[in-house]
Amino acid sequence: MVTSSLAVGGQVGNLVPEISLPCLDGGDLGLRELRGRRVLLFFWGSW
Amino acid sequence: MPGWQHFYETHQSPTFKLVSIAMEHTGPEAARPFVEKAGATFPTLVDEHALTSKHFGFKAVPNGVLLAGDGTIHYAKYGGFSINNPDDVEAVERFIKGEAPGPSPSGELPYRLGNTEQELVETRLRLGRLLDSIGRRDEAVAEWKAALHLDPENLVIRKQIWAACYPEKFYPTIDFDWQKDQLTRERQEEMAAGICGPDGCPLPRMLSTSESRHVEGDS
Repeated sequence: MVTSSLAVGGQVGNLVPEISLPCLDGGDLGLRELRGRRVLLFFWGSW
Repeated sequence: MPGWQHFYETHQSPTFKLVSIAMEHTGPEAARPFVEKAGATFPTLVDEHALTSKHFGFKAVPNGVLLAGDGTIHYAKYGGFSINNPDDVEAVERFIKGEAPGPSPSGELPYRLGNTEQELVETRLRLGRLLDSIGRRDEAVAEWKAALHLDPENLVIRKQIWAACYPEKFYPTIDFDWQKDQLTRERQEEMAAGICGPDGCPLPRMLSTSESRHVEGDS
């Protein structure tokens, strides 16, 4: 998929940053692996 | 967290996914009890080094970001995104139904760090995490505070230092009055130390690029 013309960042219209993070249940998940579905990313902290 | 689990259960769809991202300098174990207590069936990712904070450009949580199937952002609310706020919930519901979620609140940051400061912040957070993992909490806190003093408006960093140093103010319940007083105390100390000025933090001279944009007010 060619989307290189889009800016990458956290604002509306940006392409989601390509970040891979560890899952609490093990393994890693990259944010761009979530493509194909509508996604809610919910950021929080235990503090 | 329990609220979003309920939302997830009542909005099941093959075309919708909820992913939670926990900002935890001290590692995944800080997040686990909350996820387990909520019985969360959606995945939770753990961001130990504030990577998402840097790449999305936020300095506080809770936040909600809606992604379309092509990976583009259609809505972003940084700070105060809540299952208890009907506007936030309705934006997500509209988006799940294939509609536009509606306008996003302004995500304007009070300033942007230069690349050098940003790298320093990340390095100190990582070093703190490493020290903390081998039981050297005091040295870890010193590194986290050094990171905070480079990025003084960053509540993601500040509150995690509080949670590490004053756990009794966070567990079992969060003492918001204490947070307000503590923030006032720390701001006074930071002004006395020359980290912040009367117009905000950090002082413009601390930014390696002249991208600082101070905005009115202070949340």
